[in-house]
Order: sequence, then C-alpha cells, then structure tokens
Amino acid sequence: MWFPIVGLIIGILLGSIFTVPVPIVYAKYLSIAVLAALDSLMGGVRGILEDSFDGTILLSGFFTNTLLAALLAYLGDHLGVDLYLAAVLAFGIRLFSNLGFIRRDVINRFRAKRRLKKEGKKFD
Amino acid sequence: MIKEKWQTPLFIALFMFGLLISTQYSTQQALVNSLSNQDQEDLVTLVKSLNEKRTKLELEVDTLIKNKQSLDEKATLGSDLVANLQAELRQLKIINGTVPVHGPGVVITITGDSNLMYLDLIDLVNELWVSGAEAVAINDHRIENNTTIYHAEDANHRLVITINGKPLLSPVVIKAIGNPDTLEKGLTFTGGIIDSLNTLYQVFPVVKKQEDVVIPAASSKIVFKHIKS
Repeated sequence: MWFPIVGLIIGILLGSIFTVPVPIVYAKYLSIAVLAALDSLMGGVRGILEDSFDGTILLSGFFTNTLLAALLAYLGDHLGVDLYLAAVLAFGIRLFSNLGFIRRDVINRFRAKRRLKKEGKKFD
Repeated sequence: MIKEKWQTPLFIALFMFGLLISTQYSTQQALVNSLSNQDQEDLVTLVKSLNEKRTKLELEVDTLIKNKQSLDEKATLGSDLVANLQAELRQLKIINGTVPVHGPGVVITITGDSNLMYLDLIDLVNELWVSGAEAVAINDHRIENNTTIYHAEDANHRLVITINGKPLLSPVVIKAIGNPDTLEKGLTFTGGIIDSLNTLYQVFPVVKKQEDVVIPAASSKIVFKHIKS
C-alpha cells in the first residue's frame, strides 16, 4: 500500500535535488501537464477502488494526457485559441468527478467492512 | 492478488508525478519572483527604493572621494612638513657649525708682524657679524656661540691670542661668508674698524673679496645639559 507513495516522495526529492530550469514561458504548459497527470492518477485510484484497475491504461493515459495537454496548450497559444482554458476545464471537471467517485467508493468500502464485521459478530 | 497488480504502475506514475510537480513548483516560484509578474505598484515602489538607494550610494561615493582627497592632502602636507623640518635641520646645522659651509664672502689677512690684540679680533668678528656675515672662521676655527677669543702667555712668556684655548698662529686669516660688497664696506668705511686699526694700532688687515670662501665645521660639538626650551 505504501510502495507507490514512496515513489511519489522519491520523485519529489529527485525533482527538487536535480532542479531542471524550465524557461518561464513554458511554465503554463508544465502546469497543465501537472493537472493532466493528477487527473490520470485520480482515475487510477478510482480504478483500484472499483476493481477495474489496468496498469497499462493508467500509464499510457498518464503520459499521453500529460504530453497532449501541454502540446495542445502550446498549439492553442500559437493559433490564438485558448486551448489552455479548455484543458484546465476538462481536466478540472474530470478531476473533481473522479474525486467524488473516490470519496463515494471509500465510504462504501468502509461501510461494507463495518457491516461485515457486525454480521461476523452476530454469527459468532 | 490485486495489490501486486496495481502497485508497480502506480509507483511509476506517482514517481513521474513527483518529478513533474517539483519541477513545476520551482518553475512557478521563479515565475512568481520574476519582475514581469510583479504588480505595477510594487514595481514602481521597487524602482523608487532602488533609485533612493542609488542616490544614497552616489552620496557615499562623493563623501568617500572627498575623504580620500583630504587624506591625500594631509599626506602631502605631512611630506611638506618633513621637507620643512629637514630644511630647518640643515639651517640649524649651518648655524651651529656642525657642517662645513661655503659661499661668497671676504678673506681678511693680517700678517704676523703686526701688534694685533685679541680685542681687535673680537672687534673684527663683531663688525663682520654686524655687516651681515653668515659664518665666520679665524684660521679655520669656526666662530660659534661658545667660541672664546682671549690671550695667554706661552712658554716664552709672550702674549699670544688664543681661540678656544688654542694659540693662534700667524698669519691670521679671517674668513667670512656673506655679501662680499657689504662685508667689505662694513669693514673699510672711513672711521670704520680697519681705518681705526690702521691709524691707532698700526695693524693693516688686507680685505679681499672672494667668489667662494670655504669655512670648515666646528671642531667640537656643543652638548647641552641644562638648557631647556
């Protein structure tokens, strides 16, 4: 259970030790990439909770969403279309809906566990 | 088990996410701190405070330059002082007779067969001082502030003139440095010292102007023990 969180911590540490200077012009695209990555992660967590998790889909979604979000925002800037906002909106909505599902799933699981415990006690 | 299945991909995804957010964090910090992202008012105050700082620093530079100039002046003043002191020292040495001197002046020769007395010598020397002599010597005895001119009996009971207690040998040669014309006039005017020596005592000093008279240093150094200034 803690193994992936260790990965997150290692990633943060490595990223802060080997700071890659990103030009300020690209900060916007990087931020949208972060949003896309967060969305993918939330999707993955939801998949785990709903037992529909697929590692390949998670990783492919993670990388393609991240890259595509950044690329689309970049392209939008150069075409004069605010695709950046579209990406923020789309990923934001999906992120919050995923969060809502995760919350519901966690509560359901918690309730199910408690019910099982109670029933177990009754059967004893 | 499900656990085994989802842990590795999630690890990779979270690892990449960690890298991404830390990079984004530092980038965002740079963006927030960059000047183009500051409020206009903040920038205005920034420029104002920087301007104030600059004027302050300019003032400081000015005062420091002035300081340096005054210090330089003081330094040159110090070297001037040293030069002055050296000049004074040289003058004092000349006055005290501790160094040999030379310059234009007169040479007075008195032959041995004249009946010269020590008082005549004193008069002559006094007359030379009065006429503006700057240094006087009798037979290479430098006349100083403690030089004595007197007489004494020698082994044959004859009176001899002494200078600083040493007998004076003939011919007597008095050397004086000063304006040669003034010195000569001071000695030879009618009714003057040479005139009176000639007429009263039959002493006939010969005064000769010279371009360069050499006067040696005093033989003994004066050591002050009690005098205070």
